[in-house]
Amino acid sequence: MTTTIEDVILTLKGYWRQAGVLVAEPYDMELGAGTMSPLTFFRALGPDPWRVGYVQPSRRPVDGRYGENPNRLYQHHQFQVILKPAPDDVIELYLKSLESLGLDRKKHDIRFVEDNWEQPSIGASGLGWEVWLDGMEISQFTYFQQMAGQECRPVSVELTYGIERLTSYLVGVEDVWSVEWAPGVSYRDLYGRVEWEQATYSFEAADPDVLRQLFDVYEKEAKRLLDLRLERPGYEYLLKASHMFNTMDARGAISVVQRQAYVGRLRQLARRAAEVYVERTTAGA
Amino acid sequence: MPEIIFEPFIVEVGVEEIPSRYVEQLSESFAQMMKGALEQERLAFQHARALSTPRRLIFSAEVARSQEALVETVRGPAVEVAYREGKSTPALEGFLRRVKKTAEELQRETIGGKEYLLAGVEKPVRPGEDVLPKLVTEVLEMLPQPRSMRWGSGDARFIRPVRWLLLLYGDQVLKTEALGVSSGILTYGNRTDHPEAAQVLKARDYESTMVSLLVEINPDRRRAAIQEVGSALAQEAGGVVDWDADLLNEVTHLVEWPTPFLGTFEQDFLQIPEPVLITSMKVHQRYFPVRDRQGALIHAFVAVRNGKGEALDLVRRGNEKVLRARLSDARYFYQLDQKVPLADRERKLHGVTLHAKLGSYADKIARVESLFERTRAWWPLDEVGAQNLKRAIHLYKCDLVTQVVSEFPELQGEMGAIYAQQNGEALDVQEAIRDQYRPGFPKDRVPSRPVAAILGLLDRADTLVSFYGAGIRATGSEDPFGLRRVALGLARIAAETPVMGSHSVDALLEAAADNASVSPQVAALVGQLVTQRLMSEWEAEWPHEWLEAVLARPFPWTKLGDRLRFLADHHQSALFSSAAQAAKRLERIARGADETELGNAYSGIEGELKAKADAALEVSEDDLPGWWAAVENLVPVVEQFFQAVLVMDPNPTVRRQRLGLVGHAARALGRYFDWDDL
Repeated sequence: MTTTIEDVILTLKGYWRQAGVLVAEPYDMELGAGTMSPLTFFRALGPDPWRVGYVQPSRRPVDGRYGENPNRLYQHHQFQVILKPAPDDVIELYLKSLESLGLDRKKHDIRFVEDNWEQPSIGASGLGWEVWLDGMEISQFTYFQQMAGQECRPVSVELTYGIERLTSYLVGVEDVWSVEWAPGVSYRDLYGRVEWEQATYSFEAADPDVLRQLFDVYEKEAKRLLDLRLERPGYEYLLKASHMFNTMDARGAISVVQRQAYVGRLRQLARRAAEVYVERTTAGA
Repeated sequence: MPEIIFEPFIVEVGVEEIPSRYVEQLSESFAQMMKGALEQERLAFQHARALSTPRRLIFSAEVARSQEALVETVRGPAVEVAYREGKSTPALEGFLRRVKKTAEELQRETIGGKEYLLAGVEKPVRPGEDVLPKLVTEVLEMLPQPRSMRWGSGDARFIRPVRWLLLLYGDQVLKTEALGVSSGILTYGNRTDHPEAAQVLKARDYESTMVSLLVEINPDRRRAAIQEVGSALAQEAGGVVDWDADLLNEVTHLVEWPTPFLGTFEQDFLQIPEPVLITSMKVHQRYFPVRDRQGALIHAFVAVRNGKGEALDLVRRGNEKVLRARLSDARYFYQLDQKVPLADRERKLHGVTLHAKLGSYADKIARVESLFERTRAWWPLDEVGAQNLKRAIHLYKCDLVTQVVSEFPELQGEMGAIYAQQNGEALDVQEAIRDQYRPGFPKDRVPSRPVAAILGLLDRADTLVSFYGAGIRATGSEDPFGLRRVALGLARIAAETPVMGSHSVDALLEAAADNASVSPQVAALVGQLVTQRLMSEWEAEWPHEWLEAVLARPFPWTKLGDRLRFLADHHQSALFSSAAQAAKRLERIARGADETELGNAYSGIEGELKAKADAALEVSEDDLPGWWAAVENLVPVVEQFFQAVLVMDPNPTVRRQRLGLVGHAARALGRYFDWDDL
């Protein structure tokens, strides 16, 4: 029986490695979701097959709760799997991954509940489900239809496990804070103070003017680099801009209308990055 | 007539979990299209059924072994072209070759004055197994999808990825390809108990195989099983299940083999307001609440797992844990909210944007309050009522800044009312807050208290003129702010409660437009929208033309029923048709007139017309029978007037005054309806 976050991560890595998936490491920048990692964003584009799995710490400034809410976090961890093209038996593969964690499907109720996923800031959308384990959402299961405004052909499937939720369910505790990362080290030991600081920063201490200026600078730099066809450095500036946007959003520094405009600017950059990538990878193929 | 021999026929399309709200619609249209295609292909069938689970669309029927015979009439050349001097021409010979007939087998028929040769050609009669594969492929590829997607490397589109196609006809397995899969003999059980593939070789074995795989293919039976077992479980717990029909339908389409179970939660949670408990259970978790005999919630729920499975205890514990976490959150927020009285939250509404172009909720409250001040004299309120209404205006949006509403947005209004009660606000105030969205859906009730109804009218009038004034409108395809629903709510409150008294909706909208510094043209546009919504609501019971005729006049819509009933009572009378003629004639002339003037000294027949028209206009507004009696006197005078008088007199003054008189009489006749619509 798995009992720590470490166990869950190692078990999922082992399971998917056996299934022929490349086990990668987290991307070393602030991301809002595992989807934004170049290992997903770029690889979902174009025709080449791809199978990867990795843990991605994901920052959602608006979800910060100063470490006081049992389940809501400024940063949580996703285990993300991309299978391209999506295999016919992908649901069975997914269910067996849960079994590898000790979740016998006969002893639990595993349900696929409609969820249409969309991430407008990178022009991505897909159809699929939330996966419910005995009434609790533990995963997102999405067939990508579009990435950066481009049709996905072939279609990748993205499986995203919420590691904190899954572990707290497996351990049988009600809140993430009592989960152990490793034996003797609780989630609170690792992240309690950090969550408080990050929430304080996002909601109170962040300087909206600085965020706005940084967004503008990062956007400009992203454009310049993408024009030089330096797709990765250009994309990384997009990621920085995106994080500034998320922080401004949490800080309450943007109105509904401004929000739309910022999302549009990010989407433009994502589109440009995708074009550069596709041109490079399909040229001379 | 030869006896038709039928074979059992099964199409099972295996799909990854179809969103529950689409299962029924897809299953129905699949069966409809299959039936249509069978008819078109002359394959007789009986006992056709549409069956479904979240993972399969199933069409089951008994289908004839072969197509019905059909002799198709083919038109050949005209007789005069087919024969020249008694000899057959190449045109005829070509036709005979094409239809494989001799000249003696042809018939003649005159079509459009010309005689033609006709051949009766027997269409080939093909066995079902030759026709069905292609038919199934065509139906599946054409089946309309509410929202389709692609998957894997293929180009097929469907609601969710298609994984198998079972196609059985009697003892045969039919081969075809559709939506990226090849048909075969494989199906699958439910994911919990029998995830592996299973074979079905004969159509007649299909249903029993599915039962052995623990798949109930008939949604009605799944629904019945959930209700039967769920009710028994609730009874053991000393309660009855709150069977919400929509939720029951949804759950029916979320499972292939329902196993209901009873869960409980700590009794303490029952202190949380009922709407919060209900929303947590029904909306967030798809659980059915359980009530005692008096209708109060008890600390239990009925949930349904997919499949038979083992160890229901683990599933129960898991679900209880999830609900407990949700309810703990809700209780925490609820307790936090109770620390601040609702009234103290009003200033925070400055920071809540209604819409970028329309300012904050604080701005909205100020507008609604001044609209009330402007129209204060309209409303049947005593001093206490007016105070309560003003209090409600200041409080009705305050729960937007409470924790519970930010977690449960669907409870806006409901929570405000609960907090208002706890703060000792008057019942009028509580109910006005609670009913602010009523009526919100078809058959929903209108607010029952005058204060609530008035707030409902003021709020909606302001919303509509403000959005329209800012250029945000409901169009045929787009209505992101639900303005149509707002308009219908306004129309229904105006028509179904007495609070508008003698005032019209048009007048209310004009006041609201002026109050919001929006042009009167906008008020007129909104008036059209509201009138249209009202018509669509009443059209189920009354003819469209009558509604148009009546609603062409501004009047208090509380009288709408009276006016329509008046039409129903009189529209077949002789007076009605002569009044209609007179009115239309008068209006035609009055409409064409450019310069008119109602004089004050008409004589003779003109004087009489003026007097009769005055009489019809002077009858009090609500006295339709009195007006009708005056019309009875007026109509013959109109006739005599037109016989005796030339309206377009050469003298401009006379002409102007006669046109003025015609308009006056037209107004008298058209006081309650626009006759043009009748």
